Amino acid sequence: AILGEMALLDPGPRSATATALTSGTTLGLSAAELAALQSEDPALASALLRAFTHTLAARVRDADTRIAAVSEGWSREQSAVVWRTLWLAS
Amino acid sequence: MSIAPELLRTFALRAADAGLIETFNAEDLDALATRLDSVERAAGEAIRERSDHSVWLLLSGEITAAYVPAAGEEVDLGTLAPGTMVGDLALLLDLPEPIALVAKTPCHLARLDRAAFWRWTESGEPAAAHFHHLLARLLTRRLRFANARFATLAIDEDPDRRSLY
Repeated sequence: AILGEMALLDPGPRSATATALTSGTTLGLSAAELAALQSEDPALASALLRAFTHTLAARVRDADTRIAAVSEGWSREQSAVVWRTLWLAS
Repeated sequence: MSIAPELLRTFALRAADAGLIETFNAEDLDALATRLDSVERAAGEAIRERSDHSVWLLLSGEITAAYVPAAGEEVDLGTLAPGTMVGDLALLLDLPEPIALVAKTPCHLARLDRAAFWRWTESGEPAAAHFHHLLARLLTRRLRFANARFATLAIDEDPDRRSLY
């Protein structure tokens, strides 16, 4: 599993706490290390970012489906704000 | 294939106002410019076909956007101004987006074709990694927004599914 990729990619508050249930090993990558990797090994950085972006894009699409299921009854203005934010990059 | 770097720098300045492209530097923009196609659209013309999974950068002109759900009414999303980028989800997932885009005025756009994007990614150029990072950052912001909506609406009773993180 990968945890914390959103805070890595765009620093901000975390919304989940992860606690070890058993002893184990994790690997960490900081924002500074990711930035360095983009200069030192862009191909590897791209491969890593490619995995992140695909996962994130699939989650946005899933959010669209879930929000659509409950959007009945919203005003057109409310709907426009949600769909615009989810689907348009800016 | 390529677009004048000056046009892309102007786009970047406008996009910066919207907080879109702050991770890009001048060298990245010049590298991106070489990967873009220049496209003109007349007023009233559709910007893209449903099967087109490219990223589009609006350099000049205005676009009318609408959300077109599989069922139900279309929702007007207003007018898109220069400095706007659209199509990133279609590009990453190779799936059509439920967004109709029509030129409101004559438009000049820069198009990053899906195949060109992946060739660029595999080239190992730092700018390609930076562009990927930009896309990831934009997606992260959208997911944070969606999470806030879920939390506000409490639309999901299962606590394990309440967050998209």
